[in-house]
Amino acid sequence: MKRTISFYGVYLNLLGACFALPLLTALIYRESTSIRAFSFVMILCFALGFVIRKFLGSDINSLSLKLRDSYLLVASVWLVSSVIGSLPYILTDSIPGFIDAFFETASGFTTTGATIIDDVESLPRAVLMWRSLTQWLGGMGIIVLFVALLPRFGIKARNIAAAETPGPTVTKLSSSFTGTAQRLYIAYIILTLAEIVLLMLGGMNLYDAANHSLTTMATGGFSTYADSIAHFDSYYITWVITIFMVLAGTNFELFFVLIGGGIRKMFRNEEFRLYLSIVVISTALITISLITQGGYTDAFSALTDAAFQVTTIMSTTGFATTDFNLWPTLCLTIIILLMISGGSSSSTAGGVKVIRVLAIWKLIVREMKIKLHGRVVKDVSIDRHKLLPETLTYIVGFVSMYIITLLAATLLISLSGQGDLISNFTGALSCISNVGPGLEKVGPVCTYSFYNGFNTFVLAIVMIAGRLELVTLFVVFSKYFIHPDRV
Amino acid sequence: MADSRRYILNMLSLALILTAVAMVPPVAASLAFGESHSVNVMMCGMLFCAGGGIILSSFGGSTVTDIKPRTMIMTVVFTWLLLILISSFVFYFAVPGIGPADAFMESCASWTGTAASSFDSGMLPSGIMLYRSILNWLGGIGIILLCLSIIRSRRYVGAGLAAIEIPGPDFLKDRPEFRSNYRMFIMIYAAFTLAQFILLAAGGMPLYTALLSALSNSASAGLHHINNSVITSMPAYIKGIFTLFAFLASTNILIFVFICRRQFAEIKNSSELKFRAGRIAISIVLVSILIIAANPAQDAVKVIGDSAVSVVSFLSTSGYIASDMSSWPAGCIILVMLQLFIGGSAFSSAGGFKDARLIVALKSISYTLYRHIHPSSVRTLTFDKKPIKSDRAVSANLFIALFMITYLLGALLLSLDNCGLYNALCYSQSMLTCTGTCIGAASGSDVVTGFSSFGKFVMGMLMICGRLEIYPLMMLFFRGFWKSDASV
Repeated sequence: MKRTISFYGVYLNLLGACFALPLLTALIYRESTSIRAFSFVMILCFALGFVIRKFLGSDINSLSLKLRDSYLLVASVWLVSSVIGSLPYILTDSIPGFIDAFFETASGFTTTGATIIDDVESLPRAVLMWRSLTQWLGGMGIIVLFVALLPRFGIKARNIAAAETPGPTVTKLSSSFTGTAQRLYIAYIILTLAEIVLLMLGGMNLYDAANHSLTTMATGGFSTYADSIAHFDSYYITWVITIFMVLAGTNFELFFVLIGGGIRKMFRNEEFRLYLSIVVISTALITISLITQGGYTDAFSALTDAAFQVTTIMSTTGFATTDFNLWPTLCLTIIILLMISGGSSSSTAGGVKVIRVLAIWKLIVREMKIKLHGRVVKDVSIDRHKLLPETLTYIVGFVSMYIITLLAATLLISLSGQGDLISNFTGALSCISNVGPGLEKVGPVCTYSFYNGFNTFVLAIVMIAGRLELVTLFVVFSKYFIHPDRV
Repeated sequence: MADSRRYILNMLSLALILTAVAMVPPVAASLAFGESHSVNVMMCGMLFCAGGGIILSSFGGSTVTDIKPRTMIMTVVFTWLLLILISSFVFYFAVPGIGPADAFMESCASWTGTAASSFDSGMLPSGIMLYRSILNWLGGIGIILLCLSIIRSRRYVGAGLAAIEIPGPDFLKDRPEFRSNYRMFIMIYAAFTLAQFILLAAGGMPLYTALLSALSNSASAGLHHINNSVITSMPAYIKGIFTLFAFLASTNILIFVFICRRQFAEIKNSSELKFRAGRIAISIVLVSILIIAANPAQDAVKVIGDSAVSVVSFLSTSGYIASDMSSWPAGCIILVMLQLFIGGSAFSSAGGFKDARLIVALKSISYTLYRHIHPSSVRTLTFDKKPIKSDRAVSANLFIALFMITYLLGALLLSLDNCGLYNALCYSQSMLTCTGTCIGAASGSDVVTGFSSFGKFVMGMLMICGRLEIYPLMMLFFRGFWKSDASV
């Protein structure tokens, strides 16, 4: 426990520094309440960090973290960040209740994008900037950022980052994990800046462009407008965001493969090929459905809306250009399937992840072969790498955990009698996959504000669990963590 | 001709002859009720089955020394599909005014024990109603299993075929208690049916209705013949009998084998039985609390009774409607709906992915968490205090994933009818779990309305998927199914 707390001495300084951007925004737009709120939270973080370092030491390189400490560290960082991050909402009176503010912040850090704010335009601009920044920070991972900035964190970095990085793999891009983290963040920053420039070329102002780029690359989906991207009513902006959402849902390591080995090598990646195939097929099916059943008369408009919604849901971003609640049933079912699959591993997207979908499909085919031909057993491999039995056990264990958590969360939020099956199921699904909007009462033009405090809290925890790939959070609450020597 | 092929033909011929024999009581009933059209149709069906069976038997052989898994799967799949097809023709010609898709769906619902129909039960002649209930009963225990009880076969072959037809996870089918006892299942199944018939008749139910009810309820197939599975006006005693036998039908039949053999230690160790009983008890309590909380003025005893009857009906995937569920709070409906995925126990006539697999999935999750804390430590998963091989545990988890994938793909195909998301999800679930009745649906009965022929065909396929546990049907679309072992 002491080892974990001493980490916070340094971490809180980093978090405090993150409040500089909204503070700057508050200064530019002369929002006095926001200036006071962000200054207070910033000073609080620095002060707490100082106190911890003073009493527990600041040399994090000397920390001998055990495996279980890594899980506790990551889980607690996400919970503490969500608590501290909610303070600006409360102090500026943007969201008066703690539970609601916690939900909004957790939704930010986990890049979910679900909101309880009905009138988002009425919030101070600095608060909206903080809201977008939480998503950007959470997108690639708070700890990964920490590791990228602090090379002296050393050998423990990989264990800790593995507990935070989405997807089953953390490939080495560099000799040290710090190098990997730095390269991932460089790609992340370059893509974010590129999107800001492209959105500004489309007529967006810097504030809106920055906010939407931060939340696009993080696959977060928070917008500064209640009607999301529909507010801009621009094909150009819609397509720019669509392309960047596709990129954000792609395995970031592949960008370095692209630079080093060209597009052919990138396309050799099975997960990437499946990811693109799902995007293209889903877009085509929804476009056809919109034209034949959905009352669309303009094919390009149907294609634009279909492509945008497919990428926003599959990359688990959660923007909206239209109320897809009103779309034909086929489109809604496809949207649910996309929410489950999510994006690629080592991307900022949530969900089960395409690589696991691929592994499950290969396992099913192998199972059929075993059933049909008895002893004919072939190894399951992805990109010519054989998956070990242990990995397969983890993958199916994760999928079972995902299904059971999803159903349990749906049940839990239904017991109070709020919402109907579709709203509660898609709400829980959207939170566990970090998408944002669900269907019916939690659809793209609605918010989660109708849920009571208990349900809001449950959904916030589900978001954090989903972002940490379930295992990290569940390990901390398991009997094995509390009694590590029990077998 | 190879021994294995001769064996398949022999099995097919036996199944056809058994189906022909099963038509004798409905023909007699039709004659008694003066339904000449039904008599003619069923006589044609009976002659076709009997004739086909006799012809095939001349090519078949019952002695087989070795049989490949692929051949066993082919035997089960082709037998089921052939019998469903034949019954579709019987329904199509016997029930006036229905289309081919309605007949196919009716046949699938009958064989798979699903309380679903695309038309009102009043349209079915009495003799055809008995035919439907007999099919429920045959499908509930498994037609192949019935054939195996008639012909002699080596234990390896018989247990292999039974394992494909009887729903349940592989890790339980590998065990000696299954492989040496599966022949006893039919005796127990028949005994329960008879007991239920006697108890229903003793409760004042007309004999014919009691017979139909016993046949269908023993197979967790609902009660389509009674007002489209709506039994809200039935006396409490009758509801109680239905509830008791629906619970027994969805319980692992091995439990009753152990009782017969006085192996009480095995029952005590049965984690599935404890899990299932606990799950049902908690659900009844929760549903009762939620209903009373929503309307405190209600009679608590009546609420608990109604909740128990309804919860058992759905959690056993029987799907009859025993109380007014339209007034239930949304939480109650969702509580029951989510548990429909689990269904009943292994080796029961209920659908769903089964309690045993869920228990293994929960243990796998626990193991995954354990391994994250102790990566270098090795621990064996157990079920009923017996170890499970890791590949069998992966299979159990994988089946849950496959079940959910099939459910969502079923909903996707049903949504082509633009039927509304709730209906697409709800009907896909109720067909795949072989429940039939869509809980909370507008119709409030087991009659499915508003779907095209394609939608009804999809529902039929979902029912077969649910009954045969997906893989055998899925294999038809798999290239390896049509290849011999030598070419793989």
